[in-house]
Amino acid sequence: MGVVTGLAAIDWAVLGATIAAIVGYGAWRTSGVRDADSYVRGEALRWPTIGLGIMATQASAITFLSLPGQAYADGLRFVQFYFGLPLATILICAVFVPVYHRLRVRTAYEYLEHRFDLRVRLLGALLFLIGRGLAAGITIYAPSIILSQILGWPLHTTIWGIGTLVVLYVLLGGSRAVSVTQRQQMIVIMIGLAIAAAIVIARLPDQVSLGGAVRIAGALGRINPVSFHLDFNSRYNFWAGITGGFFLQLSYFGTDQSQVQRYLSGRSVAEMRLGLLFNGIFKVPMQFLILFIGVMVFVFFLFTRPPMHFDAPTLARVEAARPAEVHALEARFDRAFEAQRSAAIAYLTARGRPDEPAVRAQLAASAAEIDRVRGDTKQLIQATLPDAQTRDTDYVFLTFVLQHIPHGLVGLLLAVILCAAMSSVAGELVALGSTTVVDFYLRLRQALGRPPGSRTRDLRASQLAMVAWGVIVLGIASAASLFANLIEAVNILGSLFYGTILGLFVVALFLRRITATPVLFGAIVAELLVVTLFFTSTLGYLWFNVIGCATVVVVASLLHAVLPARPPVSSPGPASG
Amino acid sequence: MTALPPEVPDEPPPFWGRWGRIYLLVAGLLAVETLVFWWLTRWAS
Repeated sequence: MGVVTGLAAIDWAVLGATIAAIVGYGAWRTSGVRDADSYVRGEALRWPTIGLGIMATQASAITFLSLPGQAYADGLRFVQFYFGLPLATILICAVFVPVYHRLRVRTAYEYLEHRFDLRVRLLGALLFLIGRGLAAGITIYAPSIILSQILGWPLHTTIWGIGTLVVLYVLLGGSRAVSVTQRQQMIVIMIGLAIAAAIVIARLPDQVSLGGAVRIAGALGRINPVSFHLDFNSRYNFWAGITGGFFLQLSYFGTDQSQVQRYLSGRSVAEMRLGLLFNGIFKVPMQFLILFIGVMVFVFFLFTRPPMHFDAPTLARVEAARPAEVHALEARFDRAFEAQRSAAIAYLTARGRPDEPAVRAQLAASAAEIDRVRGDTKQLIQATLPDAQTRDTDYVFLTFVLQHIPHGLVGLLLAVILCAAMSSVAGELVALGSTTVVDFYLRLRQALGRPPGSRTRDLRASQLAMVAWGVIVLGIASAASLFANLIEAVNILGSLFYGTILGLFVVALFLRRITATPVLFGAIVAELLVVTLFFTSTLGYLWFNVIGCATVVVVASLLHAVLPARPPVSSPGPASG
Repeated sequence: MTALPPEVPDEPPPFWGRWGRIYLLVAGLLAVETLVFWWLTRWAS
């Protein structure tokens, strides 16, 4: 098996053919879209397409780049973050889906007008557009910077190359194109993951069985998928996952148009529910598999010398400036690696012997020395290049793919990463465009008393909105280097808006007597409070979801109690064009 | 695929009945996964 450090012709061929086939298939299958309604709704889909689309929208490229690296450094415990997802899915299937289906809404925010009034609908849609628009820019920037660094592609070419492809097929086929291509993309992703898992296990040394690899990983703290220890300072434990994760996933799958649009395109309530439940059942095992691959890569690098720092381009810049110090660290790393490898082999053969605890302690000590060398390397990077990122876990999986996987499969796994980037950005883009057209353009035309536009005109408006959002998102991606930590930036941006939006829907669905004005003021107060807390406090950003939602509910309930009861203001019904 | 329950749009959310059993199955799978993960954590530590 050849060890490669770059892309061969066959990799380019596999990568290009996979992407071209998916985009071409999507364009072909959706070439008949002729009106705005089917463009934004993409209706009549079966549950497998819906389920795979939901998965593909959530699984961005950074998932496949970051999660294995996260497991390499921190083990499997991140999987607990998803424990709230199946429960949130059940609530959405039981409560949200029948309501959306009965009202035949095209966006989640259309429901807010049915339940309250136009003002609340526009506020919900606006909060979504701001939060999702910013986050979509980072969704495309994050994998682009890693791919460009590792593969030597120019950053802006990578961003605009991925973005232009996505805009192209979204422009041609709208929501249906996204659903159709996401199904193919998810199939490529699943095949790629299975191959990656098989290869990393096959490439372990002969004396290391799968069980042995798990035991070594366990001895070094990487097999930790569940902790029932209640610790509010720990982000990932069972209780945080089942409560905080529940709220986060409820908001994301129940009120974020990029997800709601995926199941609104179902041909019946049953198809919508089955699509959602498909994701609810398979999401946790899939995330576990991705993390497990990362743990196996960790075990692989116990026996095959890994880079001292996985972000090779940054380390090369430091080496050019301070060669002697880098070489001294490399020599220390070589010695620590040899000691760790010997200790790992000794641990494998010590099972059940009286000296097993001592051998295990020796293994832990040698791993600690590796960590110290890596820590010193990061300090040297920080001292030499103060603006450089020292976090290198996002580069772990790509380094393994490029250096230890045969040609051809490298192209396939890069296709997996690009598919993930394209599928999530496409889902976000079509949701941004749909919300702009349905909740603002068409609805405000109706509110202003303008006659309904022709089918062609509305379709053109939808396509224009998609392209406009494509340009905005790519512009944000081009400027995204202003954010220090990309993953955190995506989560923070989401948390700034998700709580308030979820609060609107919680009041709408569960507090049936509260009317529009109290909930509108509740949402404004909640958003102001969350933004104020973001700028003035050190509170963990995940709490913003809970605070935003709770504030809407409490303020709306209080205002409802003190404000005089008023008959609902009659307004023209939602746009139907 | 087994036959699915008919949709009755204006009825309250169907937490029970046939869909309720499917929801219980999904929640049960999560419980089983959690137990397997817990066992794995203990076995490997």
